[in-house]
Amino acid sequence: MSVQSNQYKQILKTYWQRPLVLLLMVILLLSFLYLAVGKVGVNVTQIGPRPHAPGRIERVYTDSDTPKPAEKKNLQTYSELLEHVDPQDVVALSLTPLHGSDPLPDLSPFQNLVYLDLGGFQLTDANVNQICQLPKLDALVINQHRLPAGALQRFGTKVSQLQMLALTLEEHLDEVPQMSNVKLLVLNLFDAAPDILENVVQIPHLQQLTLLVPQNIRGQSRTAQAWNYIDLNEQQIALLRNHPTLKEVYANWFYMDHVRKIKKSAFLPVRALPIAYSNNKIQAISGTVFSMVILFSIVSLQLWAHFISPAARVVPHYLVPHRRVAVGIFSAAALLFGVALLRYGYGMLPSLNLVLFSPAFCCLIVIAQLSGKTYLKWLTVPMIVSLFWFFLLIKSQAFKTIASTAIWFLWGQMPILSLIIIGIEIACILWSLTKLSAVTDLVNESYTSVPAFSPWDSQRSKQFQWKKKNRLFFWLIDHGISGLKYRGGSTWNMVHLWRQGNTFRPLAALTFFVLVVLFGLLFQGMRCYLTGEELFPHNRIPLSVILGGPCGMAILLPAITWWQRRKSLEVESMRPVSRKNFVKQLYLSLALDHWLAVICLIGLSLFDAPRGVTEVLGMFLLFGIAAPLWLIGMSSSVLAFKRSWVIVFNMIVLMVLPIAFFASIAVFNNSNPVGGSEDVQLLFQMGLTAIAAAIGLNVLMYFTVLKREWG
Amino acid sequence: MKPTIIQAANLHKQFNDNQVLTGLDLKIESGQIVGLLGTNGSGKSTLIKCVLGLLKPTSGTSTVFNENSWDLSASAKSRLGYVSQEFTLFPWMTVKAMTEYTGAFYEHWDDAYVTRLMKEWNLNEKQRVGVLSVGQRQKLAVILALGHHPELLILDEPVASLDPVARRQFLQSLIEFTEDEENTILFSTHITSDLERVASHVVFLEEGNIGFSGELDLLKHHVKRVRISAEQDLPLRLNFPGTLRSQVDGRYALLAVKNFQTEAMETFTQELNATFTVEDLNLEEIFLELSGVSTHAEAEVTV
Repeated sequence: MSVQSNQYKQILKTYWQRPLVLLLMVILLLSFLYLAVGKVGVNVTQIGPRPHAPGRIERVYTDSDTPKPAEKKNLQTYSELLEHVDPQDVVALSLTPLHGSDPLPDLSPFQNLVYLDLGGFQLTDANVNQICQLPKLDALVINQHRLPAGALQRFGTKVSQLQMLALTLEEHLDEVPQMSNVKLLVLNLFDAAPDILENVVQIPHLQQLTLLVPQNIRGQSRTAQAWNYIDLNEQQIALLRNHPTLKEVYANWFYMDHVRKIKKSAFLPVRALPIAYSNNKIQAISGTVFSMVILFSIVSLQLWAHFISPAARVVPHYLVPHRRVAVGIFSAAALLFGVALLRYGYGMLPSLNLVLFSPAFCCLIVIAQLSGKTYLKWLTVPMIVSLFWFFLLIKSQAFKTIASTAIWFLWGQMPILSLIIIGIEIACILWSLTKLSAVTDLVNESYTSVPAFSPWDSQRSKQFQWKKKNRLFFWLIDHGISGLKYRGGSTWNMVHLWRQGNTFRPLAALTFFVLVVLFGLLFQGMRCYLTGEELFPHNRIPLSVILGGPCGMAILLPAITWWQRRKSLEVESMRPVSRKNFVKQLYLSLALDHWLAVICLIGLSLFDAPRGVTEVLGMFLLFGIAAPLWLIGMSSSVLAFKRSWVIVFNMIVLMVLPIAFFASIAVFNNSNPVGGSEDVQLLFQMGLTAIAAAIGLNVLMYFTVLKREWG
Repeated sequence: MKPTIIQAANLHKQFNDNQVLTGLDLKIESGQIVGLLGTNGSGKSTLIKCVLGLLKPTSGTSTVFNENSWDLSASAKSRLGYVSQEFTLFPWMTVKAMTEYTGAFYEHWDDAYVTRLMKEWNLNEKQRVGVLSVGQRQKLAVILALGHHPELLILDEPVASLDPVARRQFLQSLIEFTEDEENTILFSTHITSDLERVASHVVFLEEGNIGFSGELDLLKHHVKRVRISAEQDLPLRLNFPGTLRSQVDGRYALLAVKNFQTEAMETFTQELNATFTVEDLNLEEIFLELSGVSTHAEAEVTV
């Protein structure tokens, strides 16, 4: 027994004998502390659906003969808008009367308007006529108490998304059953009586209902029964539950959840969802996934090191205790993380889903990569891309698009799906554990080392994986390598030459991405042809998220490629180039390998950017110049340092620094909002500061590479 | 006087607390074929890397073609070839592409010479480098180092993975390499028979410093094995100057001696009332004696 415990102690010791593993352990511990003691309910993001503007909302005020007050100098008037913009290009418009009696301006030039916010105008029948004649109008925000007779009915048959005051609805109860086109209703419950829901449910095709309770008017209600918070009685719950088309009700359920202890299942099949969700809860998901990748790396690095060692093949029962220790460490850590997640209001099963997700995913990738089968290796590409997608989807903006299902799932309201996923995750992990012995045998016979990540024999032949002929991989990387000749020692020629020695071909990667996009479009086109849906539905996942996966790969691949090439740089540093030129050329080569990432960064930043020239310029400074420069500086860690753990540590620090910087700016900006031109000024200042910092980083890294010993 | 190709003075190299080179002085002149010998961890690879500027000396100086090793110019580098211990190549390239890729860095790359060497060494230029065996890849690495006709060739354990035929071919190519021109070679190896076949000079490294540096013949001349036979029992300690190792067994003794001089030995044995015979050693035996690990001679002492 003592021999056995001593054996386990020895195995555990090996975990803190590797600096890289130690570094990962520190990161894991910090992540756990963040999850276990970090704030839960603050920093909320609105997820309750509102009428959707398909593009930039042009905010305009009515024209006035009197000069605008000083504080409203920056406001755009209706006539100014018409001077600057072709009305045909405007798809979303928000109108506000500068003076209370201002009439609604002429809307007929805006024939492509989809979204309209009517501010506080007193509408006439003519106005209603004109609004209803806008051919593409589908989302309407009305803040008027009183409407002309029949207006609500006409609006309700025109648009599918409507935001209005409950009081207005009360005024026109007889028109409610005729609002046949409304699918989303956002109801401001200001001063409304609780029985308003009885009228709301008369909207025949309602699918989503958002209930807003303004917090600042508490105690000033028209009647004692008016809504101060959402507190539905059994009858009202039944009304919602029994609505034939209603799917989701968004509201602040705090009182019902915590005081009346009403369960969400009381609404089923309607989902009662929160109107706002804490960003900390969203970040806890990515935090857990990231932490479990780290945990998986720790365990698999050590497990692999032991499995691949010669001792594993000759010492009897060598693998079993190592596997037990690895599984023990993994289970203990996974349990701790799972418990920490319960703080965020997640159900037990979804917590387990999250904890097991990345280990299962990583297991599949590792096994596919080591399997020796070409098609399995290629499968890892879409797998890694989808991992990037996953991370981007759980960012707060993208999260809104999947919020209802995601939150419902995280609350544990979909237990069967959770159990199925857990089953798949555990099966993946067990499968990889059982496969590991066979894979290590295969590797022992046919592979060489992954530099610095395992104690494999570096002299061992890598023959096996190169014996297969006519592989697409060779075509992609070997294309154009033949017929090279000396073309002079100019920097450009040499940079081109150094890059030929890499397996990463940005152009090939771009071709691949373009093909993916084309196939995606083709698929979407066929789908909308068959189903009659829009090609780009308004509630689609943002394009930035869709393209985020391939872009993430474009960002990471150069660093990975140069990492793999590090070993050959000892001999390559003896090419006829002085040390200074060698470093300069390598650095430029590394930088040039990022061109695809630069395009992606610029593209992604502009997809969701505001359209003003100054804002675009500011975003370009940040994402078109500063971010790529910083990225190059970060990737140059693979050239600057020798030891793996130093490289990893350096890259993590350089990745966290800008995130922390911008997060602190965002927090500061949120607590001290300035708005308007000062926001743009701040964006410019941030851009210029970031560029200066990125240049500084590159200078520092360049001199570090210059001092590097290549031997 | 021949020009100096490599020179190191008071060279120190330390990795954390581990002092690998301890004030080493070395001078290699043009045309010399220098074999670098030493036990594992004696600092052979570190010396080579310091000489090439792949490692920065902790202190001291190292020059190649009279240029500071750490900051070699492009022209100096174009005059030298290097084969590392690991000879990392690009496995996805074909042999042909690999030679073309390497050649594209050199203004005076000799395609015909490279093709000839590949043919002689039975390398298929259409094969991927990843498919080659370790020995074949080592051959390719050597060819890539020779393709631009360097004046100085530095090889770190170049024959470790080669079969006897390939080793013989390799040695032949080294001889050719130095026959035609005043080329210089520095190579480290554990295979002393190879070194004996081609080296003109030997540098023996001992705990980070030079144990011996000079012509191979001089080394053989200086290190001898001496058998002493006396009328009565010999003292357990024989204090003969330059003794590397001594083993006494009654009336017989066996000595390995550095800087051997016949006159001194005659005087020494006369004092002991003994006779002696001198034996030449081959390089491997000298290596073992100098490194203090010889054991096989123990059995011979009583013969």
